[in-house]
Amino acid sequence: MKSTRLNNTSWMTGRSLALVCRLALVAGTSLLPFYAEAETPKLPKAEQVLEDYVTATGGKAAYDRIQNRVTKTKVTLPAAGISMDMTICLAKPGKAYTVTESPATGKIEQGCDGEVVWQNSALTGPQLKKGRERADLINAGILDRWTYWPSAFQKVECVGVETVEQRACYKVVAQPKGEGNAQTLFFDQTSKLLVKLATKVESAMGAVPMESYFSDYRTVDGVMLPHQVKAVFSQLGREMVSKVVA
Amino acid sequence: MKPTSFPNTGIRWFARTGAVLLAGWALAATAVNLPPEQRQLELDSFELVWTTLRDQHFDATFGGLDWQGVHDELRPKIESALTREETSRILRDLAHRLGQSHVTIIPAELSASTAGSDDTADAKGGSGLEARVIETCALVIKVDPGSPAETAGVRPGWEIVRIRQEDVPAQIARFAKELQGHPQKDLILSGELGWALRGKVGERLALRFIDGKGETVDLAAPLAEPRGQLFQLGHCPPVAVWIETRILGTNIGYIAFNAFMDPVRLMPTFNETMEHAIRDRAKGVILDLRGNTGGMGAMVMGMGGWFLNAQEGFLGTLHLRTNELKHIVWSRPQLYRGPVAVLVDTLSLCGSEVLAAGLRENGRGRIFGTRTGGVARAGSVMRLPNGDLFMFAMADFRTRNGQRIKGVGVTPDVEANHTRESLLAGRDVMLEAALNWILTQDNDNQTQERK
Repeated sequence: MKSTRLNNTSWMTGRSLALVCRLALVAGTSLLPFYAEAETPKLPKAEQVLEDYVTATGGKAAYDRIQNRVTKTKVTLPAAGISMDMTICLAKPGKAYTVTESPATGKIEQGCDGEVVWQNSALTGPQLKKGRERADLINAGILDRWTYWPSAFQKVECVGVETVEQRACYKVVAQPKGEGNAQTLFFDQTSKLLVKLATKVESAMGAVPMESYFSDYRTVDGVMLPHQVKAVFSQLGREMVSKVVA
Repeated sequence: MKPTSFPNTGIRWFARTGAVLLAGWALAATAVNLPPEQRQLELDSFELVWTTLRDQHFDATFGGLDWQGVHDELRPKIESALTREETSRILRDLAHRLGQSHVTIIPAELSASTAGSDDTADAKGGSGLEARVIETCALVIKVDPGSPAETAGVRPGWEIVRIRQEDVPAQIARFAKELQGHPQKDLILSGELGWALRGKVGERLALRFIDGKGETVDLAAPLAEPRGQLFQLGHCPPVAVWIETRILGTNIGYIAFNAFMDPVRLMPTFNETMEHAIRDRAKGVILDLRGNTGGMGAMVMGMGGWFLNAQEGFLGTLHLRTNELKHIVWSRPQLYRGPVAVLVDTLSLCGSEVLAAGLRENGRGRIFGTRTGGVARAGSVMRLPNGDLFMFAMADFRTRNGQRIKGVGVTPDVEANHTRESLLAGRDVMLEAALNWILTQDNDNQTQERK
């Protein structure tokens, strides 16, 4: 979920800066659930899907050993030729700090102590995040939120099966605690890995839908993490790719 | 390759806003038969442009156009095109069918330019003079200190009567007639004049003036690098960006800049000036957005946040095809609440218009000058498979009160424009009007904590 946070930050930066972007149509899959549901009449419980994901990516014990994580990524808008360097620091419990730097944005910092969410840059000055934007960022800052999902979500429900990039996936809807936006997660039935997340990204300007695609899983500190995330903002015709570089 | 004549449509001019170098369009006109691979790239680009506009253009009605019909008409033409020049023309035709600003194709031969490369040199050089078409005359309104124009003795108020071999008054008369009734006539004329004055750095641009005494003066000063520092956002061609701040009269802050670009350099300067204005209880602040061509919306939001409390107002609304987003401000911890005068003119575009109109509609600014260009939109740029840049409008903009700026512009509260006489007398009547207004305002309570 580090990736979600990464994309949230990128989104705010990207959109509000009116960064140039490209069209990236999202392939519609609306008919697939019906087909898939017919083949899988009995769905697993969402709790089981999440547990399988944790197990497949290293197991609860491995996650428990991790107290913090620092990830350096390169965020690009390929069509527009824009790139940003982003460093994401997460620590238990619920602490987060990210810093984004590029010639287009300068330095943008964002932090969360589990309660207060702030942002600071020459562009914006110091800002406190409020409402759903704050709730979503707090949620995204919880390092072990899938290991201990009840700490971050009030409800999770497996609602069907959908195909994502030729892979049959369980579709799980997770409703965060508080006022955050629902997240729809897609877990590969075979590998158990999270391959897609759909949600709304909030900012003071409003909300836009985002779909993130996770790939290039690699093991770091005993757990598998996606090293590439493609975020698609179909309403804006914008696509961003985040790659872990360290 | 030089902008030796005024194009006869606004569309061509819009393509140049944001420092797009269409002035050198002939660069793309290489008459070489297309190899099969290039042809496929051109076809792919055609489809991408058409599909993007079909799916992303904010106006799902396409202004009444039969968009599929446009595809079916132009697709066979690009399939049978023999040269890159032809395909480029067809792509531009496709984009321009919508008749919208912020929708155009920038040829790869020009868009490939990068900051500091020789490729940009064809149109970035200038004499250091700024000019506008006022009434029927091309008047110098400003001469940059230390510029070739100043060194050559050019002064505000001089009339430009010849650029290279072009008879400027005749050109103005011709195009003014063609553009009669066009809501953006002034924008197009002054914009084209500005481009005609540009050229390759080092080129001796032949200019003829009528000076303050009515004498003819011929100059051929070498063009210099543009004022400011080049800034490049992604694939977009570089833009020379400058900012100027100073204190006017008895404690009135003055900030001028030519584009909402290069935030790393501009924002700290802007922020520092506003901190000073608050600390020193400035009697007023003047934002000089004349000739400011807009740029990054985030900078508009960040600058607006020095004057407007986000809890009390916003600048306007971006209308996407299926969504609306508020053009908010990022309020600073301490806001400046004293009088704010915004100077605009016909070359104040996009972000300038959003900020000016937004401050006024929230009761935080009074606008002085002439009507703005009227091109406020949220645009996006993408690189096409053939290397061209494709700019398209993903959102329309409306002010807080629901007013559309596109094609209309922002009308000042106090209309003031230069005349040849005022310029020759060394006066800036727009600035004077703003200063006079500030001096009549109640200057208590200049600051406010953010709510």
